[in-house]
Amino acid sequence: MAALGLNGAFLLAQIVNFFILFFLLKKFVFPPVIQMLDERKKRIAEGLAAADVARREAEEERKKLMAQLEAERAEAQKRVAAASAQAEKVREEILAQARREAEEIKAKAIQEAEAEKQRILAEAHKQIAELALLAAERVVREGLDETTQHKIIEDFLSQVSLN
Amino acid sequence: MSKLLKPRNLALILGIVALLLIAILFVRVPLPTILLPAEHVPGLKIGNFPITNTFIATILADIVVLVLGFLAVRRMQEVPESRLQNIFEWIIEVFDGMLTDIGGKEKARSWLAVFMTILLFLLFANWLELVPGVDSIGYIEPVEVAYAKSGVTVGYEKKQIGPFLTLTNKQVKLTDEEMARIKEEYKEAKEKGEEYHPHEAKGYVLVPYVRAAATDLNLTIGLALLVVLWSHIIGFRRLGGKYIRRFALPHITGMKPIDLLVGVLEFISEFAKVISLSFRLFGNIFAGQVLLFVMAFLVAFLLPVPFMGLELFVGFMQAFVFAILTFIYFEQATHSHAGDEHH
Amino acid sequence: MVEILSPGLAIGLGAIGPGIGIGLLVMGALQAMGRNPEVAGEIRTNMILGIVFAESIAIYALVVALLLLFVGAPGLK
Repeated sequence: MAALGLNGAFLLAQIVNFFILFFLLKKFVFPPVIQMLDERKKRIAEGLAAADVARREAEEERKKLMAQLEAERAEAQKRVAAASAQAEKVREEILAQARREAEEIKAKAIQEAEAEKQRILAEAHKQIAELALLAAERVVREGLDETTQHKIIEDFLSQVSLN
Repeated sequence: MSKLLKPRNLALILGIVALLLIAILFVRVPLPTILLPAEHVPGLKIGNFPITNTFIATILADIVVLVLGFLAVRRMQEVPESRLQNIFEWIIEVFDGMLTDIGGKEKARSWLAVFMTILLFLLFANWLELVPGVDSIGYIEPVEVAYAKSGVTVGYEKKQIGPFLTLTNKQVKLTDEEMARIKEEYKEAKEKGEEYHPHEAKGYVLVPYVRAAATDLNLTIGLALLVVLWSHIIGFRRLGGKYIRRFALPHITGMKPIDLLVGVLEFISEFAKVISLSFRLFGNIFAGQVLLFVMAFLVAFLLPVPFMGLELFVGFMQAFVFAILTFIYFEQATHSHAGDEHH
Repeated sequence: MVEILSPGLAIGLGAIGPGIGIGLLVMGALQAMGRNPEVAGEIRTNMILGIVFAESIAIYALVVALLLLFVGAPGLK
């Protein structure tokens, strides 16, 4: 073994040396680095989570605003629709009233015309009857026979009633 | 082709060729002595305990890792301004993710420190072989002493250049009679309790002050043993008696001979783990070092550069493989057998 | 002569198998990565582990070669 350079004391010295190095590094060098890495990892994760939350909140806010806007627009539309419906109704009413009044006026006119006609007819009847009586008087005066008289009156009357 | 013939590129190519020619004709580097055992650095002792050049490299790698680590965490900031902190965090994050993929979050977190320590330590220990001066600055020793200590038979002549003492590429070989004489003299000196000094030095070898840490089996075997033992301790602490049953005790199929065989195989594979873990690292780094030596020996300039790039990659790969295998062994040790889980 | 030859043969012959094995392994892994690049990372990690296991065979050969080279086999000299 000596020919290979193996020597218990040197071997032990190397092992001890390694242990010293190991403990120095483990005690003073690695913990701060690992701690720093973990901390940074945590902080990055936290930062990302916070950003995520903020983004979600902003999204929600936006949605809420959008919904509100939408609601307002719908409301306005409804109001416009109601107003236009109201206007339509009023127009209809006005139209209907106008039509009704026109109808009434028309009906009244017709009635008046009818009454006038009736009155004129009655007047005519009366005058005709008077005329007929006058005629009859004249005929009687001039001496017509009875049959001729009758015939004349009949004709006359039928003509009048035909009218 | 026309791009290649631009004056600037042409000058570059000519320069490279000239450099190669100068290197081949005038600058010759001696091939360093390739030794398996780590050399003791002369004059450097802690108490009675000699220091090897690989141990110095280990300490250097420790220092580099610790300094970089402490600088990186000196002023930790949520938004990092220091590039070092950034790199350090990135590395740890990447490997934390990788370990989590393999063993889950809990296991990844509990053994990340072991993984990162092995990775960083071995990474800088391996890359140390690429630093100029490592393996090339050292103590010049008579080849006779080197032969007596570790059987080196080839030395070089030395030469004083200004304040620096250096080896030339003129080889000196010890003859058989000289070897026999040196052996005698060494024995005598040892009996007297003295240090061996040759009467006159025929040639010299270089004993580097620093040599890549993983070219010493003490480091790799020590680390591999530690890791495998550690995995057993972790396995026992997490699974308790169930863990011991994995070895040699009949429980899996109920057929005793087969279970015994399985247990024995598990037992043997633990040793195979140590051997393959340690020799993989050792073999790769040692071979890389020899490769760099030989390339520098063939052509002193430029030729070693691509191989240095290769060694950069190999050094990282071996550190990574050692660390990830450590983690996998830990994970396997705490992972009860499929049969046990359904009970 | 045998002393020089045997370590070379040990690592040389021992590296053939792992070499072929690693080649096949990487071929398979690269094809898999080409078919589904989205799991390339996972495949790469497993490929490296597979290479490591194939390579350990070569390492056993390396161990034998080093033992032969620096320690020597009993009765070889």
